This record gives sequence, structure tokens and C-alpha cells, in this order.
Amino acid sequence: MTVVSPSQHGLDTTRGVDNRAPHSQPTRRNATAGLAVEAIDVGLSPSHGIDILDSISLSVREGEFVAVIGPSGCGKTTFLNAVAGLIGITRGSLRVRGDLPSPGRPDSAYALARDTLLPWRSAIRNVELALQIRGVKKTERTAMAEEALARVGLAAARDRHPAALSQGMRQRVALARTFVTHPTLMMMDEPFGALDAQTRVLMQDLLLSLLEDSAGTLLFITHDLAEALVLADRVVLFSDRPARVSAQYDIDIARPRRSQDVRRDPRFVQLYDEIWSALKNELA
Amino acid sequence: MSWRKTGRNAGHGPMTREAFTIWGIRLSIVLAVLLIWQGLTTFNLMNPVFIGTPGGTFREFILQFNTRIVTTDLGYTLRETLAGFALGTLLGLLAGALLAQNEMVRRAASPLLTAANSLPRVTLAPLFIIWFGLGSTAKIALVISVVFFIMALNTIAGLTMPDPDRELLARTLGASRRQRLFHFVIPGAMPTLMAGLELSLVYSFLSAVVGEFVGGSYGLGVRLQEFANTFEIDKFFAVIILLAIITTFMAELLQLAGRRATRWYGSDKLKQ
Repeated sequence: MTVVSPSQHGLDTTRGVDNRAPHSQPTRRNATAGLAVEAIDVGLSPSHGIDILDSISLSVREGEFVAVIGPSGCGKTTFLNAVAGLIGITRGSLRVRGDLPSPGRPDSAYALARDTLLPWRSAIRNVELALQIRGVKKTERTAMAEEALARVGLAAARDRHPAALSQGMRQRVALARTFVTHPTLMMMDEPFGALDAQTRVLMQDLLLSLLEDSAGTLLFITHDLAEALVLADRVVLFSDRPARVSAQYDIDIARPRRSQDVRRDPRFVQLYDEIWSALKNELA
Repeated sequence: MSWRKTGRNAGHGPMTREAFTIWGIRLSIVLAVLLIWQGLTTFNLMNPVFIGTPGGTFREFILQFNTRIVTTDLGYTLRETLAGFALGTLLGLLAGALLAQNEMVRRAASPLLTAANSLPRVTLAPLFIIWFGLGSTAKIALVISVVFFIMALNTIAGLTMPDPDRELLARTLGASRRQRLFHFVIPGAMPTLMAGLELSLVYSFLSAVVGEFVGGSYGLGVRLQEFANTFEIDKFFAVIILLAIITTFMAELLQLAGRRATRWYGSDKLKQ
């Protein structure tokens, strides 16, 4: 498996020098003042059944990577889907770059745990789909899709159909489809939840390299705490359903990161233990 | 009909061997049936008047190409089959596509369609003869009545196949209603639609022949009825074999045409 090197933009000076570099240390994709997502007291009570979201207040700054973790079925995905404009909320205020959430924003992309590639389209045509929907011309979109496939190391598999790709390769094609439109706001729902442990680590590194290269903002859901720590600038812990924000943690581990390095970082171990005990309280 | 799947891989070492074995088994089955048949007549276990003979059937099969069976009757049967198939599947496709658009109407109509589809519609043949006379029109009507429901149900199933992930993808990509239809729904429905067409073709032949059986002057069904009444069993089997060969050939032709649309289905199977 080819993984694009994350250290191509000359910013790897921080790595290995001071692993406890504070979050505010300047990096190219450091957060700016604006808010990409602003949720104030967001609640969701279905017309019958128990509440899903109690009161979520959460801001995601531009350029920030935020991970949401919490007990299974606590409403994490529901919150993400509300941000994506896929479902409505019943209380509070939710803004995406100042607008009400709506699906299919040209500046955003949404990715799922399952790769959801269309089985009748080849790898490249699956990547093109995102551009095709936006009306990008054929020659232009083929070039863009080829570039995106190359970035995930799958240039050679361009004409293969999903059935002829391994799970990890399918997930990389899906990642290429997510990045091909150059989104600046990415929402991911357990992006690697369906993968085996080794592939997941490789995918985390690939995602890191793609993300740290872009100026984008990432809001993602995971129930893998290690994954949250590897990828995010901030980890938000949701309570059990109906969800509230129960705690937030700044992940002050220097970038660019690599999965296996981060896992050996003493700060990682410290944060892992701290968040894990808080999570355990929510589970109890 | 599965031979094409192995045949496609001819040239690759292990598959050629597999195809060879499959053909070996297939021919052995045919040979065994022929041997039993021949044995039953040779040793007087059954009267050839009732079951014919392999040799006699083979002779009649060749001879029928110079008779009205192939020159006239076959043409009638084929025309009725294909006209009914074309009209029936087209109408079924349209009805199914319309019903797939409206969930309320679909939910109301679905049990009725299923009920209509499970009726033995060939029993309507005498009714169609009363309505349309002894000519080809009654047979075409019968074929349509059989094929329409098969195709309508397959179309509804194909176009409304629930795939929440795919639906979610379409929404998050911001696909319009039209884009959703052309990039997600229709390609996803192709295997189901092709299966409906293949099933419809086989049933078209069946209903055309049964229609001829019930009444008329031309067509393979009329000849079959005649040969059974006059105990010309060899000729009867010769017509049956001709019918089987043509049906298989046309079904294969249809599969070949549809293979492009559903190619990814085959590659799914390869992976397992």
C-alpha cells in the first residue's frame, strides 16, 4: 500500500522536536478566527420516543479538526447529520459558516463508515461522481479524479470496479471522492469504522497527510479513542443519550503527525487515560 | 445458462479445466436420459407409441425443417411471442416506473399486482379467444397478460430498492432529483430489470404456445396438440426440442445484450 508522505510541505520541523508543542503553535492549517460550525443549545426531540440531543453547544473553528466521541447510540451521528443538513433540529441554533445547514454544500463533503461506492462505476468514475453532480465538464473532472486517485495511491486501479478492490482500497477510493472537490469542511461519520485494525492505522496516516496539506476543517465521529487522539486538535465527549457536551480536550500533540508516532507520545498516553476514564463514567 | 460464466474465462488455466468438467457432466446427463429412453423402448419396458424413440425423434427433428412446422408455424409462434414480449414488457416497465414514483399508490397497488401475478393467467386463454378470435391477436393478448405483471413487479422492485447509504450519498453530494434517477436509481435497478426481461422472455414463449394449444390454426402449439392427439410422439418431441433450442438461444441473446449493463454483478460473484 502506497501512502502519500505527509511531510511534503516543509512543516515537519515541529515533529520530534517538542511533542508537547501547545495547540496554538503556528502551523499552516492553524485555526483562524472564523467559525465553521456553531451550535448553540442544539436539541432534538422526536415527536415520540425519548430525546436524542439534549443541548449541544459546540463551536468548530476554521481549520480545526474536531473529533466527537461518546457512548454508542448517544446521538453523535445525529448531531453530525444535523450539521450536514440531513435532519432538522427542534431547539437551539445551528450555523454552518453563518448559514443554516443544508445538504450538498459546494464547500463541504460528507463521508461514511461504509465506502458506498457505486458498484457499476469504475474507481475513477466513482471519484468523478462528486464532480459530475456539480456539473464539472468531462475532461476536467477526469483530470481532477485522476489526481485525487493518485494522491491516495490508487492511480493504477483507476479502471477497476469496486468488487475487484480490497476493503482498504475501496475506502481509499471513497476518500479520493471526498477530497476531489477540494472541500474546506469535511464531515466524517466513523470514516474507518468498517476496517480492520492495520488498515485503519494506514488510513489514518493517509487522511492526516491529505488533511494537513489542505486548509480544511474536519468534524468527525468515532468510537475509537486512539483514532480521535491521532487525528484531532480537539476531542469532544458527548454524554449518554440525550446528548450533551460532557467535556472537551485540547489535543496538544504537534503536527504533522503519524499514527504510530502519536501512539508512542507520552502526552497521548496521558490524554488517553484521562479521556477514557471520563468516557467510562458516561458508559456506566 | 451458467456455462457462459465459465466460458468467458476460457484461456485461463484452471477455468478451462473447470469448464471442461462442467461440459463433461452436462453431456453425461443428456446421454443418460437418452440411454434410459432408448433402453425403455428396446427392452419393451414402455410402449414407443406413448414415449417415442430417440432415433425417431432425431429423424423427425431433421425432417420438420422441410415442413410447414418450420416454414409457417414457427413464424407464427415467434411473431406472437416477440410482439407480446415487446408490448407486455414495455407496458409493465411504464406501469412499474409510474408506480415507483408514488409511494401511496404503490403501497395500495402492490398486493393487487402480486395477486394478479400469482394467478395462473394462461387459464385466461379461452377468454381471449372469445374476445379476439382464433387468430394471433388472442395469443399476443395472452402473452401481454402474463408478461405485464412480471415486468411491472420487477420494475417496482428495482426502482424502489431501499439502499439508505446510497440515498445518503446522493443527498450529501447534493444530487438533484434527475441526477438521483440517472446516476443512482436506474443503474442500480439494471440487474433487477434484466432479470425481469429474461423471465418475461421465457414466459412469452410459454404463453404463446399455450394460447395456440387452446385454439387456432397456426403455430407450434397447434401442431403439438395435433401430434399428441394422433400419437405421433416422435414429431411431438421434435417440436418440443425445437422450441427449447430457440427459447434458450433467444434468452442467451438477451443476456448477451444485457451483460454490459450488469457486468459489475458478475465481478461481484468473482470475488466470492
